[in-house]
Amino acid sequence: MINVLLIEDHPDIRENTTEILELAGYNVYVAQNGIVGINMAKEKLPDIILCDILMPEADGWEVIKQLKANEATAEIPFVFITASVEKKEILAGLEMGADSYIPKPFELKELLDTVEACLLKNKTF
Amino acid sequence: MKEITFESEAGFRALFEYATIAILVVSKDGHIELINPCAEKLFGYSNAELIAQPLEILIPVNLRQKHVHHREGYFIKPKARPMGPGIDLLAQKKDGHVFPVEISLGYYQLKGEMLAVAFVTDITERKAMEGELKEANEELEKKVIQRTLELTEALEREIELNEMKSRFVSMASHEFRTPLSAVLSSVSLIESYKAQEHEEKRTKHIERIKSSVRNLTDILNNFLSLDKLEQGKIEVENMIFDFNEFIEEIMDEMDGMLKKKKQKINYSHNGQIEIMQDKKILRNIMFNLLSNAMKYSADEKEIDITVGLNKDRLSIAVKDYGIGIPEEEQKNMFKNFFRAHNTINIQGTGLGLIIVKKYVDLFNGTITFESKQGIGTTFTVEIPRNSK
Repeated sequence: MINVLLIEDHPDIRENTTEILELAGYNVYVAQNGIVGINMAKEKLPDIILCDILMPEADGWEVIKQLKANEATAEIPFVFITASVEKKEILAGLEMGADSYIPKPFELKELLDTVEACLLKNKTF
Repeated sequence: MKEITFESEAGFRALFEYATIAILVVSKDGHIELINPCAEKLFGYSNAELIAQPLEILIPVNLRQKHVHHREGYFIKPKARPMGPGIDLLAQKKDGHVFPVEISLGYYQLKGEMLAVAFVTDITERKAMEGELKEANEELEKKVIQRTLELTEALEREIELNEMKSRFVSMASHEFRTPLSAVLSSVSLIESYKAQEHEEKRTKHIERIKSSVRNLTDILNNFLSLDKLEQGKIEVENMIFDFNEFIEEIMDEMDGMLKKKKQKINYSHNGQIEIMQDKKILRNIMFNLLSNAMKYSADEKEIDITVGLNKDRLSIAVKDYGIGIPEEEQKNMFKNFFRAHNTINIQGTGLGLIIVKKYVDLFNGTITFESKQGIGTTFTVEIPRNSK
């Protein structure tokens, strides 16, 4: 089973995203803020990480910085889910090592396609 | 060049007598040898009173000693020149009046004796004009500084307004996207749960959609309230109601949010129960204060509402144990779109408090707060019990 780590502070978005992923057959680990997310990523070593940007405690930028700096988690595909649609933020995310981003609001298909694409891309390497 | 000559001493005398500048001739030992009528008039002495007197009689007492020294210096190296260039020179009249003068000096020899000539002009008027001019200049300079300041301020306001506008656009975009995400994902999920047995899940998502839409409506209402408040278009509709019931209603309304964050509200009430106020506005005040308290506190924290209602006044204190407001930013709390830097990662429009403040003002009430970063914040609203 493919393990997804979802880091998202907003309860409704967190639950809905989890539900969508679970219905598609993924196993989902959930973190409600950046710090929990970082620890969980190191502990569970998921196959892919989906992460919100604006969160209390550590935000998405801090999460990717720490996980890319950690050898065990550096190679895990990382996808930002973001309410920001500013180009420069998206580019900054990609520069920091994110594989893709999903802009809010997103449709079920968009979420699942992005996750699948990122997993596939990672496998070919 | 034709040399100017005078036929007799009479020519020189006429020049001396009719000159409109005061002329004094002084001997080497400092005695006045000659003065012209203009000098008599200027200093207020008669000719007889001055002749053979020491020149220093025409100088203020405190400057006399110095003048003796200068005068002796002049006779060592006599030269036609203005006296004390750049220095304010003062003379004294017979009646003691001291006035500013301009003096030029010259000299000649008569029967082997050196004599100095002083041409004295009263410059009281010029000095006064200079003073006025200086004052006018200073006034003008002050005005220029003032205007520059005003312009700078206007420019800063303009910049601030523009920044506010762009903050508003980016905030609005962001604030709308999150509830819209919840709606869109819930709709997707409802589509996935087509089978009959998923009725419960469908209901859950329908509720979620409703709550997100309510959230969006609240944000929109805040925008609209602020706009109305700023234009003074809010009308107060008073009614008598039970304050305890009112708080119960609000707490019911916020129950969903409270459960999500596993937070708890402790409500305590002192005094009377009935109040006459605009219930809708009061609800808006409470709703904003409470949702702030919840939003800026961690999960599982408590919130204390303390209400005191006596015959004249209602006081409501909403206390949280949340992130608090950084001290240096507390002065900005009632500005449009302002959000303290420790809230960057927490959603919010930056409008709630300003709306509360404006509503409280409308009630002729006061709003104050006490806050410590990392400890928590208490907002206290006091308004008259009965609105007029």
